[in-house]
Amino acid sequence: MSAVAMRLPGLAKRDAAPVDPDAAVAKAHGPSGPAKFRLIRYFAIASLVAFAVVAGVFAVFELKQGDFFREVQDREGAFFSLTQDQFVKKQEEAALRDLLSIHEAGNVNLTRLFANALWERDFAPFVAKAAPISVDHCRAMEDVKDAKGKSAAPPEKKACFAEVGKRIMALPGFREIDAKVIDSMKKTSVFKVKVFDLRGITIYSSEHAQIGEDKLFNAGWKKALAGTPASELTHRDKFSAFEGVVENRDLISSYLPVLAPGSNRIVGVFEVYSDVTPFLAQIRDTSRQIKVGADANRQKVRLVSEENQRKVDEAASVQVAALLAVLAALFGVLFVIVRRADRIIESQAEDREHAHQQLAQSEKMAALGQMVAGVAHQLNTPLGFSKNNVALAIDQLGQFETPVKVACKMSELVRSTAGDRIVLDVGRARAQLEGINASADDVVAVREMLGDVLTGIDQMSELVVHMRDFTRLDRARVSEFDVNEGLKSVVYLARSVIPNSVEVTEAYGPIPQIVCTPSQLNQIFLNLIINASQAIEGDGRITVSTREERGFVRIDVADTGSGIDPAIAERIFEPYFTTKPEGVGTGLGLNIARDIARAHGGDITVDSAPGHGATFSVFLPIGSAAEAGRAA
Amino acid sequence: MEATKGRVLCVDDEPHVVRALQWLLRKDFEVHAATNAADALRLLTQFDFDVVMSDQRMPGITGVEFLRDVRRAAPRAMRILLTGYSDLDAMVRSVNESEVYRFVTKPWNIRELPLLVAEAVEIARQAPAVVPDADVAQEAVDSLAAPVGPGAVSHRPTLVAMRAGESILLIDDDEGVRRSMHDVLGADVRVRHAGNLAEAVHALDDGAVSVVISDVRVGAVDVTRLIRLMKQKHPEVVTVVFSGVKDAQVVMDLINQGQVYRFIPKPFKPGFIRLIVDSALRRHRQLADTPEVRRRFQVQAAGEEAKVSLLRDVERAALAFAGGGAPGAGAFADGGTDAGPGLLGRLSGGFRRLFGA
Repeated sequence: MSAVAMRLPGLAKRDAAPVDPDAAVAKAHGPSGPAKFRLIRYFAIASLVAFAVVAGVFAVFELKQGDFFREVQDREGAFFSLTQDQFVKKQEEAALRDLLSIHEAGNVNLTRLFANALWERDFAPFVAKAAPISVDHCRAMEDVKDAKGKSAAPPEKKACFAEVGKRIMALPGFREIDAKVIDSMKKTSVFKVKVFDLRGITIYSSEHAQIGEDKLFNAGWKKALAGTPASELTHRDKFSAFEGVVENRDLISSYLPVLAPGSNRIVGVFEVYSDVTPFLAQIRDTSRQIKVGADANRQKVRLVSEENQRKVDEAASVQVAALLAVLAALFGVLFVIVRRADRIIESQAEDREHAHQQLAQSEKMAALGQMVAGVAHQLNTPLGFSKNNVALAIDQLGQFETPVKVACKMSELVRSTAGDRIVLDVGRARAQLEGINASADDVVAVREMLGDVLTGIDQMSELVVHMRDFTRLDRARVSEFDVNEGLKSVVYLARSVIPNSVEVTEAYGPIPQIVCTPSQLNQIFLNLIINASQAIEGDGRITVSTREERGFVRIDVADTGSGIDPAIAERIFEPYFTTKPEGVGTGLGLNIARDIARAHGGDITVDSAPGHGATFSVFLPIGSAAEAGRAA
Repeated sequence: MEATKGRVLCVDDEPHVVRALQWLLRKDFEVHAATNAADALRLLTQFDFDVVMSDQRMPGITGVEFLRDVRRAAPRAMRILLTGYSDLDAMVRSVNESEVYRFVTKPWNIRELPLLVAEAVEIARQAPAVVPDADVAQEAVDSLAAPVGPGAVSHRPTLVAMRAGESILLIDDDEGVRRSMHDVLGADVRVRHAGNLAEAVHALDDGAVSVVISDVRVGAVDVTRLIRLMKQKHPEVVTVVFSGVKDAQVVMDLINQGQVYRFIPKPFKPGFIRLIVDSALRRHRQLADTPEVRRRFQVQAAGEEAKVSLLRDVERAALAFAGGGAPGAGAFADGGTDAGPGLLGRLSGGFRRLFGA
């Protein structure tokens, strides 16, 4: 009982709002509860999200791969380009270096020849003649810094040196030397020749204006003075050559030491400008061609790289597209499968629901059928003796015919006779009168027989009244109901079904009427009582009692039967759970009972100890559910 | 003359019923009444009753249980069960445990019931009592209720040795039942087998059959007609019927018109069948040795239409059998080919001999 007591508060707290009990029962039985699993929707959403993620990841991966490929290509291209550039540059530098060294070597030889030819006889004396011309006063002049901060000779210093040049040119023999130099250089690639003395003063220049210039600080001159020829490639827009001013020429100027013939002693410095414009042009042309080739290669590489990139990108796109197509196809196929599955599941659920309803109906019919059969048989007893008695009474009445006729005749005679004496001629009627064997006891017997018939009819009408009270088909479906009265009818009818070895005790307490669906409650009670009788083997007792308890009407159906194994006690209210043999019970009886009780805002519980019977308790709310019941 | 009146005990928990029965029967019988089993058993010790008629549903005890006690306490009394309930279980037990003479349903027929009681009184007075074979029959009854266990199989009571001319006829079309029956009864018991009505009629006509063991139906054909009709002419043949079909009317007809010795619901335990066959053989010997006892098992005449429909079904079975050219057809048609009219002629001859048609 403690289990029941513990459950009660929870029960009371229940939001007892049963709408239509029938609808509530139907709903409780429905295979699709309130939280229906929408298979197709959930599948579609989940798989679309999953596929989108897969497709996204794949696309990003492909994109990254494209970027990586591009990066690699770019790096390769840059490396290639650099190599090409360096190659071209190196080639040009080598060519220029070669050109320079070839010309330097040429100039050195030329200077040797020149020195051999001119120095001893012409320049040496001339240098000696110029030696006395002092330049110290010019050199003493301070250099000035120009706007760029570079120290340069001021104009008066330049003029001073120019004055020195004029004095040198005024020296005797200058014209001869000049003529010889120009003569010997004519038609060569040498454009200019200068001669410096050991002081660094320009003693001779084929460009006369430069005679007298100071080269003391010139790196080329210094190098040559130290014994090493120094050459430099320069480009001049205008250049005063032997044969006039030339424009836009590439020149190699070489400072060359002049050795005294037959010795290694440096006696002066030559500066020779030789024209390398054609060579340089050729070198440049070669370089340009190489560069063009390199550019073409680079272009080709770039194109190939672009083509590769395009192919890679295209392949990536194709792969992404293919993946999308596969995923879409997969989704389509899965969707079709799931939709088909969903339909099958739905139709199975419908079938199950249908089967369930049929079973529930057959469960109801089984209980009712059992009861109807019991009632029909129970009718046979009053029917049997009533029929017997009526037939016998009719027979007996036949025996009374003659005595009654005789009595009537006597009465007539008495009335028509004034005196106290009547004379009967017995002779004629003796045979008839002697045949009378009815006694006054027989009349009493007939009265008793018919009295019993009346009792039989009362029994039969009692049964009919209880049957009407049980079904209540002629009453409002939801109404005020005295549960005790209902139980009396149910017990009365159940007695016809349950074995005589089972005693049914009724102990009804004072309980208020409740608003409910009486026919459904009667169904529960009949079910519980029949169940109880089935739990009893041989002799036993069923006790049906009612009482009011904490706002509920409590109906207990207790039996002295086998009891319920605790292992299955939890499950007995589950649908399709039955301990009866296959084909005997549907396993829905208690399930339906609980649904009905709950639809009324109540509940049903069981308390049992194996071997000591079981007590099923139905709780029906007195107040709140009554209101809800009225609303239904 | 008070002494010549049959003495009848009516038991019913409903006093109106016993009063009604008293009024109905008091003219011809000395009627005693009780409304509970205890009173009734006390009356049994005081008077020597010819007939005991009891209701099935009574508080504390069923009519079947009460009549079982009556069978022991007053074996001479004929037992009639009166009930408003066609409770199959009660009926089966009324056959096996109480060996009731008749099963009467409420509401009873007031013309027929006194005649039935009179008939029962006459039998009770003329035919010697059958003392219940406590050793075997009760053992068989008990084993019905006993759980199936290893002991049940190993327990093989020895059968009474079969006498010359005795045999058992098994009417069933189930090969499995036939084989298990053979296994259970052993080789020393002569069992003839009939798979259809024609074979059954042939076997019954052919040789002395002591005990008939039969299913209620062979194929779709009702065999109980054969049993009922046969019992009418040959009360010494003891019948045991088994069935998986739960039909109260069939059992009632088998009691009233067939005086079936035992009714066994399927499935049954092999050891149980052995006990049943044993006690059936004993009963057959009683009936064969003491023809006067047979009256106690007199049957209520089955209708003429039952005979006609049975003959039709027998002929149909015979034709189907012969036409099908089944191996066993030789049992009827010696030549094998002249199945048609010759076979039928012989069958209807057998049928007439058996049922007096």
